[in-house]
Amino acid sequence: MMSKAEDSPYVLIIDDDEDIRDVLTMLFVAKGIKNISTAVNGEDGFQKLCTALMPHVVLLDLMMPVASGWDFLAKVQAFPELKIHRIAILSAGSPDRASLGNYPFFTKPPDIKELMNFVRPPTGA
Amino acid sequence: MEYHSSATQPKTMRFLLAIEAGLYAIWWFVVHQNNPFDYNPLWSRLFVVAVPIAILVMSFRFSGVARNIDKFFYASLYLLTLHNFYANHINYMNVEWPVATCITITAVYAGFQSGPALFYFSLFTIGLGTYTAYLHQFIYPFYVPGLVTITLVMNVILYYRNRALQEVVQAKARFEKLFDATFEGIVLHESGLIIAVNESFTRLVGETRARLIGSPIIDWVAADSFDLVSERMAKPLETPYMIRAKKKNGLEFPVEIAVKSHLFEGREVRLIAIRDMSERQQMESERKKKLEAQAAVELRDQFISIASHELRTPLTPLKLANDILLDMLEDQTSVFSDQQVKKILQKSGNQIGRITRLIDDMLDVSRISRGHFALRLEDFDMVETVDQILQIYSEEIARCSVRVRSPVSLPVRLDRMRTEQVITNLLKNALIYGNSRPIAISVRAYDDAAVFSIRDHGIGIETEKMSHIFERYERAVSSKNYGGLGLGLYIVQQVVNAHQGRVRVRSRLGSGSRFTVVLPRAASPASVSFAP
Repeated sequence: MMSKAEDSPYVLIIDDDEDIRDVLTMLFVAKGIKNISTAVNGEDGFQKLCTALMPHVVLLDLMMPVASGWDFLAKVQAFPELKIHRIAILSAGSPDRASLGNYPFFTKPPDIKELMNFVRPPTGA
Repeated sequence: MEYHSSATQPKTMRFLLAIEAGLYAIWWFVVHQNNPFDYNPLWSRLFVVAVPIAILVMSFRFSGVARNIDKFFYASLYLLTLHNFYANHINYMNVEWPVATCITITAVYAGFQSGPALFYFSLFTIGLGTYTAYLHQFIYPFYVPGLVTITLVMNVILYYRNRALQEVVQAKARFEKLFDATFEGIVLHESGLIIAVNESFTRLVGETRARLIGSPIIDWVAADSFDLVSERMAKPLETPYMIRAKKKNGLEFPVEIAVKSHLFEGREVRLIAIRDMSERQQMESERKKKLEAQAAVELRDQFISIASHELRTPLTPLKLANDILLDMLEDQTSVFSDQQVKKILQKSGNQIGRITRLIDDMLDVSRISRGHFALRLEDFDMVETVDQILQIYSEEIARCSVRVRSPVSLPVRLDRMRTEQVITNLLKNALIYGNSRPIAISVRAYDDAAVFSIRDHGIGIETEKMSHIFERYERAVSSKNYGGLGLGLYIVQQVVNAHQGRVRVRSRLGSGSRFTVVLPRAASPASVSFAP
């Protein structure tokens, strides 16, 4: 039996593109995920970590004004007490993977099934 | 070149003549003192002393005598020797003094002259001595051994002198070889006329040495370098500089020249070293071209990577929206109301618009760089256009405050589409880089110009990057933080240039930027052609 949290994880979308944020939200809503939060850049995203519930899943864009995805990752790594279950990078570029650690990487536009498998892993897997 | 002529220079010969005359005068005086009953007549003694003195004096007055002074000296030496023996003969006197005098003069002479001259003079002296000995047999033993000894000593002196001379000859030959073998052309000129050249120079200009010598040096300078050369000739600078030289066939080529004052055979001349730079310049320009080509390839690769990123960004919501709707139809479970479906489709439509604009920008750049960029002039109201554009961006504008100051209307005759593009690009930049702080827009009308200016209070531009922001694919910010093709301001500048307008930027890092576009009220159709 799947836990309630795993059934409907809390997802944080960090992306500066409004359309991407909106459509991703609609996708997750359509898939039955209710708890979704969005942030417009790395700094905003980190603020959300500190003030709201700890998200289970973070979908992170890289190229963003004010604080980029790299900045966000650096901050998260500096605070090991933050218990985020999963972070994935969702970027249109093909950056140097070495600078990103072992986080899963989805190239924009992502395959919807792969993305959903990451956000909500199938039971019994 | 005759090298022992350097030993028979007028100066040396004059010195020898003076010694000769002096010695003879002393002898004459001594003989006169010791032999009061001297039978040697006064006129003959006067004659032999007067001859070398006269030659000496004449060598200063007449150039012919100065030039042939060695021959005159030779003649006077023979004359003195003859007189010496003649005097001994008629006076029947002790020959120690005359022989000593004769041998001394011979020694001095031989020390500076060639072997054959010494040989003939010895032969002459021995002949005369033998004849005198025949007449007065008691004299003979006195001087022959002495003469032979002195002759031998003289030969040794001559040997060493010749060896030293040979070294000089070889050194000079070596120098001349070197002079001709150097890669640099070397020219000596005196007040503008060439007096010596080396072989490299004859090769450089393609003219023979014989014709070069005596010709004006300026004949070999290209016309556009005249001013520089005359300016440099007036200054005593010795640092090398570049000019264009001219060959015999009129071909011009770049050279580096270094000029130096030089003492040559007692005269102050100018020595010029000339290095052909055409090959080096060609190499440099080839190297530069290669670097430019490399930079262009790098820029293109960078652009392709940015462009693919920019195109993927709107593609993401488009594909996701498509997948959502597809899923919805397949599952037959409608989680979305019609209103929501409409919103999803609207989002998709927006993305198509974004992609279209990106492609248009790329095509514009391609058109500009190929020079296919024509203005379609039409009459419209600039204030109205600005209002329309602000309407399109009303959603973004709502997040920061935008203040607009403009006249009621501003009729212009410009390319409407392009003008819209300029205003849109500048507004988009202000929205992206403005940090959501207030933006001020002003439109002003002048008699012959329309001025659009936009001021934001955002991140601003670094001073070092100000000169590059209008270049293709350039961005003043890190690509980690901001997307974009780097074409917006490039297109702005090109469009404004095509209208013969101006675009200016004032900015400070951290406190925002102000872009001001000055366009003519009516662009002239002739202004459509421009360099990309």
